[in-house]
Amino acid sequence: MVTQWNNPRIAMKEKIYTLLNFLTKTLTMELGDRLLSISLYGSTVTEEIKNVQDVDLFIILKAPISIQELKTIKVTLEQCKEKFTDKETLIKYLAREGPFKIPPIKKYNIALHITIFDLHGIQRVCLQESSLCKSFMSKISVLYGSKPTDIGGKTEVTKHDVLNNALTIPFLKNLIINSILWHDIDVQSEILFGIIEYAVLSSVINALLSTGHTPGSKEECVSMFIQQFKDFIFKQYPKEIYDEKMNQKSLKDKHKVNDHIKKSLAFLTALLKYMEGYNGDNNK
Amino acid sequence: METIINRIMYAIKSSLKNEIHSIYFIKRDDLSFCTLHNAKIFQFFIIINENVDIESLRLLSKNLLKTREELKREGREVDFIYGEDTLSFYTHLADKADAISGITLWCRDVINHLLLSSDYAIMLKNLSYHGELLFGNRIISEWKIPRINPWHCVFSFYDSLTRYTTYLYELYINRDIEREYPLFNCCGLASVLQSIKNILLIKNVYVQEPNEIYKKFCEYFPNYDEKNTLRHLIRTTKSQITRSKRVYERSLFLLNHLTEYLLSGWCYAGR
Repeated sequence: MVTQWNNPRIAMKEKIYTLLNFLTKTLTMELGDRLLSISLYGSTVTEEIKNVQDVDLFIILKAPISIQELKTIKVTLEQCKEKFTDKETLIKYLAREGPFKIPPIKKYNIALHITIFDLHGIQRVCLQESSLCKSFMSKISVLYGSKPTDIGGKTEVTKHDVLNNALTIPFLKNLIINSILWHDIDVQSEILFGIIEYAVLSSVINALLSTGHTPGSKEECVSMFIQQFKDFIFKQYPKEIYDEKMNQKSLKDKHKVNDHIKKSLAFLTALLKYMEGYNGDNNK
Repeated sequence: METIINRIMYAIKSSLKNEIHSIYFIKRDDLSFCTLHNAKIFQFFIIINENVDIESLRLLSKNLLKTREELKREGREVDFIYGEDTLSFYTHLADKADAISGITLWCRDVINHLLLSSDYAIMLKNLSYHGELLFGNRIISEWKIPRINPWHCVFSFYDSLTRYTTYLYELYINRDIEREYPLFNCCGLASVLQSIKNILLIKNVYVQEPNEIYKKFCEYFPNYDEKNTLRHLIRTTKSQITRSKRVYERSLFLLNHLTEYLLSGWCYAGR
């Protein structure tokens, strides 16, 4: 895939959409009316393009999904990898609920993060699971078929969800704690930073949703958090981590990442306490 | 196996010292029934201070690696996995471990929330009943956890039918079914057995052993109409797993069928 663009962000965007075009076309042709939706969410939709770019996709099919259908999806992903990998472009894919982070190896690094659902699977995500998923749903680009919420349903976010369920604040604190055991900071500092960024920004989305705010981009999310949580002691921290992620300079510096582990844990501990006592008018 | 458990326990205690509130231990014989190399599976759940010093976590990571190396020199392969997802244990067994130990850290301030969570309810119910408190205070006890209902079994984030189904789909995409058929068979079998075991919690019935799980399920849910397929699948746990996709395929079928069964409300017509 030879790019004609000098601006790396524009070039990356072009690469991603060419790949997505191929993926969508192939899957719609192969799966026919068994395919209910291909939807893009996350930082690609909000145009926060970096040299390591997560491309998050929901692929939803009618239940039950057969082995042949899974094979079609797998073959298509392999074709994407083969067709779009070149000297300066790395393509990795993984099917997984939860974060998928890759380190920067080439000039352009695309992490194709797929979640495959049948009808009941998407109901789980839409109806109850996490406020985080509900936030994804609010900024979604449908590449084929219906919006996931039109298939799976929609519910409101409650304070109970934000404080107790999977993929919300307590879960995200545990995620960082357990990641310290998983990933050796000496060799995987970038992956650790990716997890910290995911945990901090996701907890901010959770907190904002429970106060009735739905942020679009991550940039909007961090500035909205400063405005809405004026009396929260660590309100500036999400912006700090967002800025560092966007300029990508210090991610290999293990001392800085170590510092972020400490700060992110202090942030999540304090946010959990703050939200426990939150009654909607803490700032008044 | 006792030596391995004691050595891991020592690594945990000597690294985390006074950061620990409680250590729960659970033998997962229900997951070890058909493992690739007759490996044993167990899990440690460690509840630690809310403001834990990350240096002690790093020390724990180092000491666990050290323990692993020592055991390896003695001819025993132990693998560690961190976090709550049980089916991911099998992907580690492909590396020919003799034992897999899950290590999960939970901060004290997080526990009160987990106890109220619908997503963690099944996991905590099983832990409170089958788990052993090795150290500290009994922070997790059965009466603090909500009663399990069909909704938990279908839709919760951990240990539910829809979650296991998604996991099996992901496995197909990420791994090679032609080359890693035992892995697919183990994951398929385990997800069905775990689901049945969890559905029995609706009736407040706790079982671990595969045949017992099947027997109790037939007793408490007599109107479930795919009992034969289920029996065939469970029989596989006793036999050599063959080179076929049938177990994986049957498991997907049963997970879907059980989901429909619970959603239809028929499960309430049982005993």
